[in-house]
Amino acid sequence: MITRRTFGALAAVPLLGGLRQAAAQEAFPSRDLLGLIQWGAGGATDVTSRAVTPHVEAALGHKIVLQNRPGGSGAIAMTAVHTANPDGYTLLYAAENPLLYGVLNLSRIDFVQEFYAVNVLARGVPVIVTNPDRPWRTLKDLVDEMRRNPGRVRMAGTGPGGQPHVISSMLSTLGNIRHISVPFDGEGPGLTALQGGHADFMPAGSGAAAEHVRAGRLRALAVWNTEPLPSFPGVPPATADFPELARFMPWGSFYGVWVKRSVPADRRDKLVQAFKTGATNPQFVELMQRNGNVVMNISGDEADRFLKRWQSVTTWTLQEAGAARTSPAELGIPRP
Amino acid sequence: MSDSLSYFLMAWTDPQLLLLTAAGTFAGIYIGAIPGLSVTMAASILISFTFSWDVNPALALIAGVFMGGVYGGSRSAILLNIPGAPAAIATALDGFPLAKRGEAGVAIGLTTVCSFLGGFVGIAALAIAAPAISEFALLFAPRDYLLLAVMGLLLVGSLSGESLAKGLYAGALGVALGMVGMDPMTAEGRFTFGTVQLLGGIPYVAAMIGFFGVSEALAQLHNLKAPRIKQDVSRILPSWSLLRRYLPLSLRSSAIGVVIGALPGTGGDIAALMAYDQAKRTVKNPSRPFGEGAYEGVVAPESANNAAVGGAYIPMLTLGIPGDAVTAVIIGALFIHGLKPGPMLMIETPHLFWFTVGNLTLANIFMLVFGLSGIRFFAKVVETPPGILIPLILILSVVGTYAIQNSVVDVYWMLGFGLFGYFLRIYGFQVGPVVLGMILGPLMDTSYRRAMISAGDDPVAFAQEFVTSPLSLVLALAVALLVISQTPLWRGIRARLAGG
Amino acid sequence: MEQTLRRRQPGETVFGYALLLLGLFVMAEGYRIDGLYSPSSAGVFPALAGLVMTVSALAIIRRIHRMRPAHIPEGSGTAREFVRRTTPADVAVMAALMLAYMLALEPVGFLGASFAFLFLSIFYLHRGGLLTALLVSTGSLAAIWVVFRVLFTVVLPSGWLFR
Repeated sequence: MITRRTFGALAAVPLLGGLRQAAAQEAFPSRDLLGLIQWGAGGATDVTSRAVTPHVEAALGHKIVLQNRPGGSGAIAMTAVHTANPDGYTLLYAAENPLLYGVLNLSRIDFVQEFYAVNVLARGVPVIVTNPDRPWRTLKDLVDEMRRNPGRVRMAGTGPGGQPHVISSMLSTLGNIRHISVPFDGEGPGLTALQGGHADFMPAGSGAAAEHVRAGRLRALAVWNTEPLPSFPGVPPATADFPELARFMPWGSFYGVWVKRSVPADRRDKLVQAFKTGATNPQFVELMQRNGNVVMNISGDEADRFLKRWQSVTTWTLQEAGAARTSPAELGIPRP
Repeated sequence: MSDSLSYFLMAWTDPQLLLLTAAGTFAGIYIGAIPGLSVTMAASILISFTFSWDVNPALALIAGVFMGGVYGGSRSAILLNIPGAPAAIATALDGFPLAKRGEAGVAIGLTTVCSFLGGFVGIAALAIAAPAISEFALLFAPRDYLLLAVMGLLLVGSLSGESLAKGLYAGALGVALGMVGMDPMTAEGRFTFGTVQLLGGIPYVAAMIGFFGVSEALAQLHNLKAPRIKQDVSRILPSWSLLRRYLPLSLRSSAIGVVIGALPGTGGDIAALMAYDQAKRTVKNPSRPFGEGAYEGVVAPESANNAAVGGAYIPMLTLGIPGDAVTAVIIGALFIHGLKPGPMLMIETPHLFWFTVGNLTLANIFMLVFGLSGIRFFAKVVETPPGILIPLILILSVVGTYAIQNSVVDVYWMLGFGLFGYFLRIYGFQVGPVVLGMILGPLMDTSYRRAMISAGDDPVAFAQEFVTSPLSLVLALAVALLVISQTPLWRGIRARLAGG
Repeated sequence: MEQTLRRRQPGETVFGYALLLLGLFVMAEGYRIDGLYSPSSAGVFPALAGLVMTVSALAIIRRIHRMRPAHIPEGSGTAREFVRRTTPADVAVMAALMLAYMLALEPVGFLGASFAFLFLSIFYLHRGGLLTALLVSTGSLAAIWVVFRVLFTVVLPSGWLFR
């Protein structure tokens, strides 16, 4: 009696599963998708992902259930998508971090090889900001101070491989620069500490810093670009003081969507189309621009070229700064 | 000023906003009460859900969920010993013993009124002193967060169970568990044994559900045949004299809640624990010993965690800095809706500030109304036959743990902690310090290391900074005083003073 | 002080030494993280936590040894008393059921595994008959499904065993 009823309940499950699978072979997508966001709720990756997804859902005709799966600099979410069935129903919403997992020993999965870029949505432009009580007015003032008092100036960082870490490594190629790097939980907490005077400067994303700079609570010394940014009027590009930095640019964090490369090509194309439509939605474009981001909306080979160049520039900078745990040469990443 | 008033009343007069706030608060109470479903999660889902709406209805809904959710966690803490949310951990310490004594109704009534009071204090602080409080919050350097964490961890001393050694062991174990995963500062794995699954750490909600809920459920299997405790539901609303007696404690706890809530690195969970500790130290003659069902033990944390809601909005609205995880999500929502959260928000969109204040006030009132209705029904949950209740608690623990991040591995952890907690209980340990250590350990670790790195890795310079900054000095003295007051030395001094 | 100590529980001594081992393990692993190369290294707190665990485990063991031995009735052994007093049949059965439930969660799927678990455990614990067990499990499972899957879009395991 018990067994028969229990069995009945169990039997209902495979039946449903079987129906679902049969339907999946007809059209893609035929059910809701799952999107894993690499970073926590409220961060830049989260906001970008949640802003674009409704427009993509409209183009796709199905919902994308979004879930934050932070941890391990995003390696947890990447591994989860990597182990999931490559049927195109599991998406990875990520930032730039997976490209650095190899040199930081966080994961052996080769991101560019194993994942297919459905869309690299936008990239940010870093801005170097300080507490307005500090005497420095330009990037040169800051660099001079770091040379005069080595190991005294405190940078608010976000941990190894984070944007402040990479930018300060790039800065250190100017020579004779030593500073303290205090790692905070993210860009927001770092900027907060900066305003409290608990750190001296921070290379931060333009979106996160813009409003604080506009209110005069932080001073922008330079934008990490070869040209000034419209959202930071009057702030010179870093190359104004140090033209030799141009070889690193453009450089900054970026946000996008990936699936496993082994997802069937026709499904990948459907996703690419849907995200292409979603990323051109004026509402999304406006949000990105207001945050000082550059909309990219690239996919496939074009995205791969961008990713490979970014990875090469960044990993070799980290290697030169002595911050790479595994040499990029060992991972087969060419020199820039 | 009349503008402010009209913005304040916006949610009160617009039927749509009124309804959304009410719905949000109602849903929030249940989201808070169900372990594994968190307000942060609900707020993220609501962002997608309200994507095409105007910003005001979206904010009204989220504010309701926030207010209701922080309160709702106490429900399951009292009835099932599973804190529905980390902010309700301290509430379980005395709330569940109250339910065991047949006073679940009184406990819920008291927590509801205190949550309302705390919520109100938080909103008042937001309305009156937001700019000053947020500037104060910015003063907290990493070393000050370290001192706050140490202060919170001193609670271990009073949650020790049979002996201090047992409390210390449990607390240190919690700290060690909190360290598991990738170190956020160096990206090195700690206790990960080379596995990716452990890189993300062990979610402390899984530990909370296991140590509190599952171990208690297993322990209750010992007395399945014991007669059920009859719940007294004749008087739900706490009497006026009872309220008058606890008003000062509730206000003190609310003040702690506002400040801890406004600090960008801490939220309602730590506020509630610190308020509980404060109550335990300052209340001379509790209604019963703490841990055995003292009314003070639910008054303090419940006032504090709802006060922390208003507190968390303070830096968010004035500076665009989130006061906790939920306000971080709200900032994201503001971005998506085309606003610019930051220091200029209050200047450029002043209506948003007063709209939020009015909206939170409304949510607070709805929370009181919804909270006080249906208590009789909920108190009866405890009277459910254990043969039915225990399986339901266990399955809810599993689903709740799984829901945190869709991981079966977390469920294994949860069961492991449940079994381990069961044996800890049998051998005279308290499980509270483990969870306390897991919450405060990471804060202590990162704050200490940040402070040390800032001082150039020089222990002397590190120590000097505690004396040169006035805020750090005050906090350091407070910690020293709290430590001394727990040692025999202090009792000796007091005895000598009293002896003349 | 001495006379206020309670009697030892069966298995308590073993438990105390297990805690000590755990403390030593945490201390060693904490040290191994990075060899404590600087006062701000990642291993400081893990090693410190391990040290506190080890020292307090020693204090706990000392206290256990000072306790009067566990009460073992005539004709029973420590192992049997341990089973009788600390893990009675109900606890063992429920723990085993939980473990089986978790192992079944992914292959069988959430609905099937949860229903089986709820039904069996209510049937076993409540002893109130098949119908009660059936009704309660179905009703509560439906409620959980609606809240978690429908409202909160939590993707619960759908199972692969019966596909």
